[in-house]
Amino acid sequence: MFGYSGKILHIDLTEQKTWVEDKTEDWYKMWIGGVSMATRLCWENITPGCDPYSPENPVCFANGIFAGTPVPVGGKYGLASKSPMTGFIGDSLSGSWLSITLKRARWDGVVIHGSSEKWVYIFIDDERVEFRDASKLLGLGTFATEEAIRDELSDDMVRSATIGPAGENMVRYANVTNDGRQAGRTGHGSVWGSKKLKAVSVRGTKGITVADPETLNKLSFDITKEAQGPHTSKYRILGTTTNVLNMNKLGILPTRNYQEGVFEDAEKISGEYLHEHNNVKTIACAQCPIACEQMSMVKTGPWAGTMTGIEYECLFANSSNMGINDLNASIKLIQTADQGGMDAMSMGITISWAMESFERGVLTKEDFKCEKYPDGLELTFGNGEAAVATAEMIRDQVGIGKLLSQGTKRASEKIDKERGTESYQWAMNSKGLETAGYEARGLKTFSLGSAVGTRGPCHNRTASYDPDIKGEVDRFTVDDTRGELARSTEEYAAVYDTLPLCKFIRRCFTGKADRAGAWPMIAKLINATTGWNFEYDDIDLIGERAFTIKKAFNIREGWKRADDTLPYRWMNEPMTKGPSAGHFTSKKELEYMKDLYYKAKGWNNDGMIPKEKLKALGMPDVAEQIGV
Amino acid sequence: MDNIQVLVEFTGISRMLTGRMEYQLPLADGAGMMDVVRAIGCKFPPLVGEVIEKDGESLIPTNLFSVNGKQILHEGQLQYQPKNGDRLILLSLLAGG
Repeated sequence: MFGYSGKILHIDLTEQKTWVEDKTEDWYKMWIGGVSMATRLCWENITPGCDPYSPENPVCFANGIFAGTPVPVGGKYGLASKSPMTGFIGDSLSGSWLSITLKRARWDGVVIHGSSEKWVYIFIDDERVEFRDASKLLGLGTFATEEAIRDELSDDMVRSATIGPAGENMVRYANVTNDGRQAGRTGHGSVWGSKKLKAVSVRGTKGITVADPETLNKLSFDITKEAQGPHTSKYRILGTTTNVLNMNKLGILPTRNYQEGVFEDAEKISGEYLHEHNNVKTIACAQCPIACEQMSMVKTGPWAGTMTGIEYECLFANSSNMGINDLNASIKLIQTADQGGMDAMSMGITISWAMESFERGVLTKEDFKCEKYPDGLELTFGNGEAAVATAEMIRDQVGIGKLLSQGTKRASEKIDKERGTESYQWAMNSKGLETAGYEARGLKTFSLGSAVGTRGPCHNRTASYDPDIKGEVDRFTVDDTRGELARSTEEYAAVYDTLPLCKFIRRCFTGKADRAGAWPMIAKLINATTGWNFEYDDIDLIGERAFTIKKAFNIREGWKRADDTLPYRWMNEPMTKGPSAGHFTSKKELEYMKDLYYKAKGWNNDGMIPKEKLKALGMPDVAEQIGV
Repeated sequence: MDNIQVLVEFTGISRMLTGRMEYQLPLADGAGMMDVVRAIGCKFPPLVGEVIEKDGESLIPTNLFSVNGKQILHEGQLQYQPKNGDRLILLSLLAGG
């Protein structure tokens, strides 16, 4: 088999044993890699209905089809488990050296079962696996853990995925970090913490064989050359932080816990400002010619020397959404999340919920008392110092940090039950996962895409904001096109998340990012790698199958139509300021769009998948279990 | 004769290339968005090839104008005729983050 080894490595933490599973070429043609293959491995290896923190919830890695080849931006892998945030599929992507190293060790996927009695890290040394004592690594941050493991193994070529203190402490939205990148969302780090798994380290020394190296090299060279041009200049120069001003000018920049969509100090937290005042260098993932990540440093004040990579989603959650106009505080918050091993989005939005709760009198200064802050904290909007202190309390599970480490859904439920309050009305999550940095009240198609997302509301798993912000539809109204748009855009995104290829490359194939512009080139890349004969329709099927297996997973875990919903605020409270003022998505509008969406997917009105549909997609075993 | 005034606002890459946050642009009655694109391309040549197509006639896809932050003009809407006092925001839209 070209492009793949045909082998999945299984590791049992409980028994400290391993075994190898051989997969057929037909299986790879179905599931490809990334989030699709990782979810399929979850489907095959999880005990349905299990507690996400139980040994029955596996950790599933699935490498990318192009990892370690010359294909630009193909060095990525998928990671999946049952999410402790949502109780549904938790699928994330990360990139860079770990995926390439795993490919060189000749593993297409890794499934980690069980849980360990003592803290361990796993060392995959080509075909050999070691369970190593991790007690000396406890308390180390994510990046420091990677370095410590390289030192211990005396090999700079070893690459590791790690958790930080937040994962050890089972902060529910803890994440997994490798090479400065994160499998950021849905709480993988806390699942690893529940297994006492501190890291997975890999040394890979073998080669990767592809079917047609000459063609693959030529195609890759052409795409790489294009990736140095105007299609990516905005990513290369300012990175995704440029979205701050874009969103603000359209009235969809989440501000003060999504109360409004415009921030009066947007210029001070913009990518443009960051570039001029804080940027120290731009870095790239391995195998990427674009280099979008803006390494930014605090240069003055109490946090001077703090440095981390800044992306838009982390930035909005830790600036405008907290009413903070001081980028130094935002950089410190994001660094606290990155080094501690927390999803900076969920952390920022949960602190924002606490800020609004404080300002409404639901939480008080007393609630923030702890040994370090005996007088408590004034966690008002705009108070960067208090926000940083709260982030540290979350990471370390100190005082109110224990409550806030559970995310907005669980924190609001607990507080409302204890105090008779209604803070769920400003808890910005759906299915338990915090919302993305696109104010969906001003983006009706995206509001549907957010509601039906299998891992919760997510800007990466659906591109349904695209028709809204490109003016292809009226973003403030609902019509009968939205169901098909949500279907089409989520399956489009699922193709990239399955290969996986970073979506920033999508215009570099032909200049056009739509299916007609991208699918033929993607088919050529797959064929040159594997020797298969994929065509346009096969690429469409990659996306449909990927989304379907994730939905099937959720149905098996008890998903119901009512789970496809939006935060209370997005369905009940119009914004009052800016270009999107007056708009929200009513329950009636959402239910209408859901009807359209389920129909476009070929599902029934309850959102269940017909057996015949699943069989037509080549999933008879799935049809047997959850088809209707 | 130039009878109307619009304010072109620059963000992101277009702000870096022009060195300006905004530019007051005079237009003739009946002028369309293609006239706006031509005018700012002539005034700010670094935009051509990065934000504006090399022929100077249209925007490179993913760059687009919003009128006053509300209406967004997609690639095929260059026939829009700006009104006096319009804010034309030149956006370089990004995905992800």
